[in-house]
Amino acid sequence: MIRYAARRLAVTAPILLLISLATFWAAGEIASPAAQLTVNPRISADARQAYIDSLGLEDPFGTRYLTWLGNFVTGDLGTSLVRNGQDVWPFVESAMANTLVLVAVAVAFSVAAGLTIGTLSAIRRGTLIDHGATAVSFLGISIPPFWLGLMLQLFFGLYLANLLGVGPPLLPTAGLYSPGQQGFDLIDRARHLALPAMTLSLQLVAVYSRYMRASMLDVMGSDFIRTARAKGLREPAVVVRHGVRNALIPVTTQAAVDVGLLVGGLIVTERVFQYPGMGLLFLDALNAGDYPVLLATVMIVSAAVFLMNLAADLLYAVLDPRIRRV
Amino acid sequence: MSERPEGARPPALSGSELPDYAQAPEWLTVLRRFRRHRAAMASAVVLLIVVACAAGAGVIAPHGATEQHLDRILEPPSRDFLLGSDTLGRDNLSRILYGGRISLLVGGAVALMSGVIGTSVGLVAGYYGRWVDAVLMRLADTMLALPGLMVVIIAARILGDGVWDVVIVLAGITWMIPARIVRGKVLALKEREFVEAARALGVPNRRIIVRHLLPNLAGEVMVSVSLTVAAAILAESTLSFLGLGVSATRTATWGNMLGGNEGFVIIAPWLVWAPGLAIVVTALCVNFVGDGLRDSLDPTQDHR
Repeated sequence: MIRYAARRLAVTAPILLLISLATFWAAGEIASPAAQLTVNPRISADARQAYIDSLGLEDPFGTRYLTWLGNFVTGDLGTSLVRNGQDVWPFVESAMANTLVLVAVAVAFSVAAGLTIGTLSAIRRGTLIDHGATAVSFLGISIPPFWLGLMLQLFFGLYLANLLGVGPPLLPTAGLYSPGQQGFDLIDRARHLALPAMTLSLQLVAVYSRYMRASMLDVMGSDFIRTARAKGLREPAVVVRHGVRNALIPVTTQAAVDVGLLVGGLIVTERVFQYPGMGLLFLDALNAGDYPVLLATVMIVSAAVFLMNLAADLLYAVLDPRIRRV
Repeated sequence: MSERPEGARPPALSGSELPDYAQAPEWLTVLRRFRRHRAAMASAVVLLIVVACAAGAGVIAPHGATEQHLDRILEPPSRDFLLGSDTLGRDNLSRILYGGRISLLVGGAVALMSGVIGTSVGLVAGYYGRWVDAVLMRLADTMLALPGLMVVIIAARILGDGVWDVVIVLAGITWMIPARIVRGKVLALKEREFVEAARALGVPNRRIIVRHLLPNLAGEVMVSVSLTVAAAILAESTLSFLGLGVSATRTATWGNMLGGNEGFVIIAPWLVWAPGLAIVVTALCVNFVGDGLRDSLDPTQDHR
């Protein structure tokens, strides 16, 4: 186990470096700060050159990359190009916090719902419950999250509001707090979280429930389940204590591997609901050509997703000792 | 597809026709099983209708894709505009029909391209093993461990907003799944007697791959490709919605119709309902067909 972990960890650092190199190159292609500077006609040539030299914008690629990497690793994310030269870190920090709240709520709900639905459709295989769950999960993977978001906005913002007569909509359709809200308000925050969390969850529930169903079917067919039944254990105990517990092993890791999917959903969900998290920060930076913010968001998200995947693999090796080759 | 007597046959050393390992009787069985899969059959029919409507847009569309009626913008569905009109007075239905061509083309082209890349990588990695395998599979694992949509957004931004730019970007991020499936299958196949026999007879590696391994992978590749079609249609719509897919100034797609009309959700809901439903119905049908295909190819296993 230790050797397996050591081997996996040994290749992690080089791969993370490669990812950072690719990120740095790509961000430069999209929003090179040097290229953007030349556009502003109000800066004199001398002032511009002095600025470029002071930031080292015309240094060779390797030098610029190493400087950025050194700063990034020590927590210096630079200053924003479009937000009046403010430090990037506070934006990233609050965006990360908002995103983590959204992810935590959506994932907690999806895991609970997905595992329940998956287990039920496995033990009631072939019944109406199973067919219904299958239909819903196929729908879940076939609806693009951004469209689901738009539909929820339409439903809660228009149809339901029309139905209930005038008055504020049942659930707010954008933002983090109501306009004019000062400071923290749990109820208001939760109301604003509801629709984005729903949007993010559907896909996850669909995927988790499919994994759980397949895994449960696999486990329930094994010998130790027959043994458990043969020794007279009641069916609920068999299902929960022997079935679900073992079925969870592959589901856990597959779910962790799917964080990439989660990030995809996150980007569009935050965009549709104007929810100020990492996804929205990334898109805004991309559209505004805010190079330091772009670099920071892409690098942080890629590294996080990559490390989650690594953690999932290691976790799987701990939980299931058969998987220690590769 | 395990119990056919491949090993008993002489390896194909002459003639230009493919060896008959993956030949008719099995495919008839697969087809029969598929026809019993009701959801998949219904989906296949719906899908055919969708494709026919998109292909025949020139004939059945009541208006042109770019034909404007500037005095009749944002009209709700009526006899003239069955699904309403958009901000430029264009017929929503006609644009969906024409846009379907691009969305379906992107879905198909991405699936095909990623299938070809993935199959090649998987074959080479699985067959040659050793460092070739290590390098290729590490690359695939690393790419699978990236936030896909973020990478796609960045790549699309760098590459451009043409149809083929989008296809290349999406194929570049989806080839890993067929590659892994193919590699796994190749690892099992290459231990089989018929491959060993071919090798003993001195058949060159390239020929073993093309003549002996490839035909036996057809089923797995088909399933994977069909599921990629759905993923690619969804991804294209997401990219176009974000304004990074196929540019709306070039041609309508279901995705960029949604992106362009997002601001009119409340005053013109039909502009958001209709293209979205087109995407969902198509993706749903493709997924059901892929699922049915998988079940028919390997009925012994209960797939997720």
